[in-house]
Amino acid sequence: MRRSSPRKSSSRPAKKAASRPAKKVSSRPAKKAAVSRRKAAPAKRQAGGRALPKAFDLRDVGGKNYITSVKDQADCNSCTAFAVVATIEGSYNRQKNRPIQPGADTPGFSEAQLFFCNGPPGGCSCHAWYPEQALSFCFSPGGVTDRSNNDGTPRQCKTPDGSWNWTTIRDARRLRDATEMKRWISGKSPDGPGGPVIAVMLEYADLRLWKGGESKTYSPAQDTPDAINWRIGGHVVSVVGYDDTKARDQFWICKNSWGTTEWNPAGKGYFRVKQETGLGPRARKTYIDSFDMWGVVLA
Amino acid sequence: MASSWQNVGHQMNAMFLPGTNITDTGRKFRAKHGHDGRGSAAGTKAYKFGEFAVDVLDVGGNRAVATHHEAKWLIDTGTRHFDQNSLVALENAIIDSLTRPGAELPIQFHIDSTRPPGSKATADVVPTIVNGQVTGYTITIHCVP
Repeated sequence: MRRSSPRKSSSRPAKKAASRPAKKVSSRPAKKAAVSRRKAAPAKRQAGGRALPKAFDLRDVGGKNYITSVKDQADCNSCTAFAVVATIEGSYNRQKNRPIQPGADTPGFSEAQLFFCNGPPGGCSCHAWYPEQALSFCFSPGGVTDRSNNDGTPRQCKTPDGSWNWTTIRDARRLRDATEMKRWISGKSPDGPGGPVIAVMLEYADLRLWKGGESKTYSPAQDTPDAINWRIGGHVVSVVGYDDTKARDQFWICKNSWGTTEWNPAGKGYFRVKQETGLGPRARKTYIDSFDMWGVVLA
Repeated sequence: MASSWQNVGHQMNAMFLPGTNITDTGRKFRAKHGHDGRGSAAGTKAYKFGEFAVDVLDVGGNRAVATHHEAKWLIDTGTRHFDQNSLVALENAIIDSLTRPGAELPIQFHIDSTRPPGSKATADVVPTIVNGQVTGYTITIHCVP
């Protein structure tokens, strides 16, 4: 999907579900899969007894990258579909131990098919679609497929034929807090094999203007007498890593879906978001690690 | 979200009841947002509708929105989900009400959660005028169920 300028909006969590019955998201424990895990930084022992790395980045796990390229949702409120698909792609690679190969960008699942066939009424102008609703369509064929069906008509639900490949998930785990997110991302969770995490964040107007690349950590600015940093609404991203090495600058590494050149170009589609642990009482929260976070397990 | 909106409307009505309630609300409001509600005094910040519902307590010490609903509430009152002109009108009415120490204007909130899915929430702000003076407001918030 290509983005036209200026961008009108990014996404929105939702409340109305899809046009056809969806499978309910399960919360049953996921079977642990065998994946290779590498530490990106010295580990510390957590309450659960499993060593948690101080930092972890699924784009560089012992030199291997499990994360597909950054996409662009353009002027369509489909961030939920993009974050869900990005997370499923990364989880697919991680859980099947298939790092990205030079010159390849696989798998390439279709955000459009998930969104336009299963998404909320209103299509690109919809106001809300939460990850739980999108994930409910990913348990069976009809949700996640490769992107060959998107040629030429990227904003339509297309009728599949027998040649389409479908990828399904076996489980979607709601993660309760930052520690569970880190365990999941680093592959140290007792509840699943790990991978990226889908996270809903509260989007402020200044996120659209962010130019911190990956060297600065985003946290919503306070209002000033001359400028109000408006709350826009919800935005959904795929969290591919974290860094706890600096006590005063602990952050999540987020894969966005606003392209790689116009928004935060130095980050090439990625940005850091401040973790909420230790935030001062007057600081603005994004709720990225306290509201709505999900890990997925591929079938 | 209907129940949350209804709950917020219920709480806000309690906060803006004439007498002790609205006096207490006004006092806390001015302490947080300054005498003009615009955050002009040191240590205060400009008032915005959603945040007021989240971090201001009523006379019973309860938040208008439960802590675990904060994020959802703040999302739903963002400009993608709530018409920005309506938000401004709503905020101006509340500021007008609560920046009159000892003479705060009562506000009655109504929640109309019949908007079709996908539509933005809006607010109708109607001042009550007696002898040419604004004596209160009636605010109807139209939102999706």
